Amino acid sequence: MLQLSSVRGKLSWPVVLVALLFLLAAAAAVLGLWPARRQAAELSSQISMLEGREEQLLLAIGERSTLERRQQELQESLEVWAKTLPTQYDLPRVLQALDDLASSFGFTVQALEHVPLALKAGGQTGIFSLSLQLETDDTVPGYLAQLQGIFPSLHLKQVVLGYLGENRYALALQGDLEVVIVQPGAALGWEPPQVEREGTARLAAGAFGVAFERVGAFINGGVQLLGIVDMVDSRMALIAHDGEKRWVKQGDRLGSAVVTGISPNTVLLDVDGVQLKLTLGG
Amino acid sequence: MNMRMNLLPKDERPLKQSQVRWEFLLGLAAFLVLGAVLTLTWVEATRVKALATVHEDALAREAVLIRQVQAVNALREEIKALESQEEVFKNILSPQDEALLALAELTAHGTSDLWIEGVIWENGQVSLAGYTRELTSLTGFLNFLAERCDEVDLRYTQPVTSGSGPSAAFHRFLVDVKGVKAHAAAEFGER
Repeated sequence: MLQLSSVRGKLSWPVVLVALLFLLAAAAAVLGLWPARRQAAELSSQISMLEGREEQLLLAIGERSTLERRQQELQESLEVWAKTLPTQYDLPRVLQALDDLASSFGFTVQALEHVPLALKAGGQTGIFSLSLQLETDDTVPGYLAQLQGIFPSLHLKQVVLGYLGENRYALALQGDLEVVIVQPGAALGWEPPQVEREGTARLAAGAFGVAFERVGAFINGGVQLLGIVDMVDSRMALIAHDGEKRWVKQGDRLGSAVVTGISPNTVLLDVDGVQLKLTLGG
Repeated sequence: MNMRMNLLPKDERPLKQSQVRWEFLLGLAAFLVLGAVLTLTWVEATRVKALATVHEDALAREAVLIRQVQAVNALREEIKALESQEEVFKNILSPQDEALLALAELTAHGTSDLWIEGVIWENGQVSLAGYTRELTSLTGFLNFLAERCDEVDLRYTQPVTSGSGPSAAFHRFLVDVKGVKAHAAAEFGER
């Protein structure tokens, strides 16, 4: 009671005013300054975070020109691919191009067959199995190289080459033509190649011989030299061939062989590059 | 000498003119504190206002940048799809086989008395069938092939005699070769 009365005694309007001023200052600090500082700190932090994100976004955007170039390259590349790789709808034109290529090389197409489309896993590509039989000349290597160039998706499985004689060859090809599967009605991009005979690669002359059976026919008793006579201006030989006897002179044909020379005891035959010697009594 | 005496109690005596009252000092301090607080509050409020503007600008910029990044991401997705399509195209390409390219080179043996009847190419392996009058010619041919291939395998030789005598008139053979060396294919390519 004594203390309270003492305080009351000391309370005067200046003291109250000072106390009010302090209270006002405290209220201003609590209600104005501190929240403002807190908000400023929060905003600073958010701005800093936004600046960091902005840098990252700018980095990502900075790649745009590179990406646009890449997209352009890819689109151009795909256009080239689309022109190079046939689709499942291009088969008739592919077969025609195969025929045209053979014709440009002067080859005769004896058979050109295909198996209907087989879809591959994923359904983005499919396969036509092709088989092709040709009668060719010695430019087969050039033909094969061009074939692979024109049809880069043709996976050759087997190539069989046999010599027929007189610079003619039998060529049999088997392969899978892989095609791109497109939706019905999609624009066809494949362009049939301009088929022109290119390259001069040839098989070496004299490296090939006719099937041995044809040569063997002359050495296993199939042909016998029975006699040789000297005429005034030439020499003739009596030869038994397949059971028939006939007189031949140099240059005559004897089956698939040509008589290239007659000496007093021997007759020389040429079976398309393979030289054979028939001996009298042999 | 005049002597002045203040008979008032000490508490009630008037202050000297030079003496400052504590209430005044306290009041001044309170006023200064209040002023400082208000000033700082005003400074902070101004700062907050400026920061809010910066923040709003940053948000607006971010929105624009995000749209641009979305466009970039869409571009990336498109590139991915195009690359995937290109990959499909690349995967269906057939690798060029060197042995097939070097067919002319492999058969250009230049050996007399040796003839190739037929050639079969399958899965990178080439089989050469033929016949020769002399085994030495066959040896020469094998050496010729060995210079151009990694593996040369003489599968068989078969003598063929003529009806007239015991000695072989011909020898049939079959040779398999694998791993045609690049230069053989290159030689072909230069032709």
